[in-house]
Amino acid sequence: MFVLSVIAAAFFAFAEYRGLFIVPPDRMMGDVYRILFVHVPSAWMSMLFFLLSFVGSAGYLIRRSPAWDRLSYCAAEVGLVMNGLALFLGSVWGKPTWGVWWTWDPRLTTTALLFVMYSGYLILRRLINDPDRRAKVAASVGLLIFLNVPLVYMSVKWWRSLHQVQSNPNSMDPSMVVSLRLSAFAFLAVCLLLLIFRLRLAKKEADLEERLSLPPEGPGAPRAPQSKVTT
Amino acid sequence: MDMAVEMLGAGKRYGAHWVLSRLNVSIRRGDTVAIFGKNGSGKSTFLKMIATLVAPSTGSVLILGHDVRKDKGPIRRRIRMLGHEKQLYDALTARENLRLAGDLLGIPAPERDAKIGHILDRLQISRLADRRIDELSEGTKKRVVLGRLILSQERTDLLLLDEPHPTLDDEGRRILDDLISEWKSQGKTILLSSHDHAQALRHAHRLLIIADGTVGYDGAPK
Amino acid sequence: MNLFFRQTLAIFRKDLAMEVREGHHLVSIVLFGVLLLLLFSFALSVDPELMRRMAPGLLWLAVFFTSILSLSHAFRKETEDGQWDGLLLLGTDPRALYLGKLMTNLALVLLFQAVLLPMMAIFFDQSLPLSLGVSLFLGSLGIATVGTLYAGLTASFREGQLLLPLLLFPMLVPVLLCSVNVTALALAHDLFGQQRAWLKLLILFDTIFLLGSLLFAETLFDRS
Repeated sequence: MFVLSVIAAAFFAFAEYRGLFIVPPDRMMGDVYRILFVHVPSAWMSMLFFLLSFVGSAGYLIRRSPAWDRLSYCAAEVGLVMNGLALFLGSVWGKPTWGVWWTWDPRLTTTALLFVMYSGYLILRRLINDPDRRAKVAASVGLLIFLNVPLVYMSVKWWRSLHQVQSNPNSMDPSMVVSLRLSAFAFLAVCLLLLIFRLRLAKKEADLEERLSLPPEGPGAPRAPQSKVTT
Repeated sequence: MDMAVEMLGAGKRYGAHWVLSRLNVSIRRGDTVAIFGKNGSGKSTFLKMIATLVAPSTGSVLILGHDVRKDKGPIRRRIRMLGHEKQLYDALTARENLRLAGDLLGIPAPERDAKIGHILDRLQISRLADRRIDELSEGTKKRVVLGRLILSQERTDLLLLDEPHPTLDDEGRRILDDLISEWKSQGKTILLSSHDHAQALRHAHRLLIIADGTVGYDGAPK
Repeated sequence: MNLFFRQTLAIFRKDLAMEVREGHHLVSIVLFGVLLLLLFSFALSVDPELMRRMAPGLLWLAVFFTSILSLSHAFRKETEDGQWDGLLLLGTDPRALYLGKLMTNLALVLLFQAVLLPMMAIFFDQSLPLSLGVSLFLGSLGIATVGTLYAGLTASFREGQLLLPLLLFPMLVPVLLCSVNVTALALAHDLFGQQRAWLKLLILFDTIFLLGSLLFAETLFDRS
């Protein structure tokens, strides 16, 4: 794991260095555009990890195993961090290029609302003490959030639209495209590692909670229950 | 099916705290069981688990042959519970509360009203039936709750009574004891929790003591 | 099936009876909505043209905030003394509980509309065509479906009331956007004209949210 982390960190450093210093500047925006190499991948990562969180929620409702629930909230956390980063960087990029810090177009609105929704999801989890009920409720809310995303996007899109037309790879200098892809993979590697570490931590927390909380066994007491026994 | 309650390795956890654990309990139909335990021992949670209001974190719990995790509907149709909370609507009258219960239970309207009439008479609260709940005394409110218990007693197999005697006056307790005797003779299973040990043991021939979240004693009363 | 609807209606009737008897809660909630509209009007009074254009948006904002209050209120009575558990123990289908509450909340939101609409007409200088009723009903339905689900869910938590707006608002954005648009169109007497796509969209959203909420009510409205 440690080796993998080092490799990922090195790759990340390389990808960002290339994007930030080596690749030529944009025709129109000059050097400002370089923020794209961090902003775009973080946006992509947030979408990917929110999707993973949705998969975790659905998985829990189908399988009822705590592992799916852990996937759901760990992925939500990583996704939320990336989301926040994307929103912040997008805003920073927006000021010099569009002239405004913020605008309510479909993509931005959906991204901002996702931030609110998943924050709500994580807060909701903290309010429920019963682990089974928490998992069930969180999974349901997770599905509802995800159901809402296309609806939000659709409705705002009809409302108005002025987000940057998504650059096709064709309209970008090849070395920029390469850099963007490199950066995307670097982000993916780092985020996946984050997820794995977070999942491990979550599993340890769950195990510790279970072990710490069983009352001490007295002499002759029947064996403590280990796992769910269903008929 | 002749088992009312079957618990195997059941437990309940909130956060890091196991409120109940290592529950292995079998209660046959028709039994009357007294349940004792200090405050905070997990007694009420135990009863709520049987009532399907609280899902077990671990182990299996079968009530009247149905799994509480999967078949709550059939269980709730055949059990009734009297808990710490009165579950009455303060702004409505006693009669309206009972009518609501009748509707939810699916009792046809004329039959429902007739039954409510009988019940109010039996519980001696007929003249208070059309007063708002928040205008009634605690003892009277408790009788209304008892009334709700009786509403569907033909199809009730299991009764859970969590400390029913407090707040009832002497007359109320007498009515309650009569009811319990009646239910016993009808072959219903009764779980009766009480701090008044003598009172409970008048009815029960078996005793369960809950201590520290698990069964400390299970057998004949001594 | 029969029992299900009987339970739904029983809950709706009970709620109505309680609201009628304890009307003072509702009055204070409605007054809050009126106050909001007054403040909006006052804040924008320097530019009457702007005010007219913003009327639909401000109306729905006022409706939204008022609804949050009444949604929380609608479930407070169920958690004061274990009433919710009581309903479930009597064999109430959680979905019937949801539907009954939905009917109550829809009635309440429509009631607010009935008060806030004339206020809007007065303060924002609007005339009120009949087609407005359609837009108001559909928007209110959208708010009531998701609102009832989330309000019921958060009613049982200590700080649930604080969490409700946070959870509810993003879910309502599609409905609110459509409602504002549809209302604006109705006010311009153009509801069924070229822009009736917005109306169709609102109906679509309402349907999705109603079915979705019913689906999830079974899990979220049970206790265990």
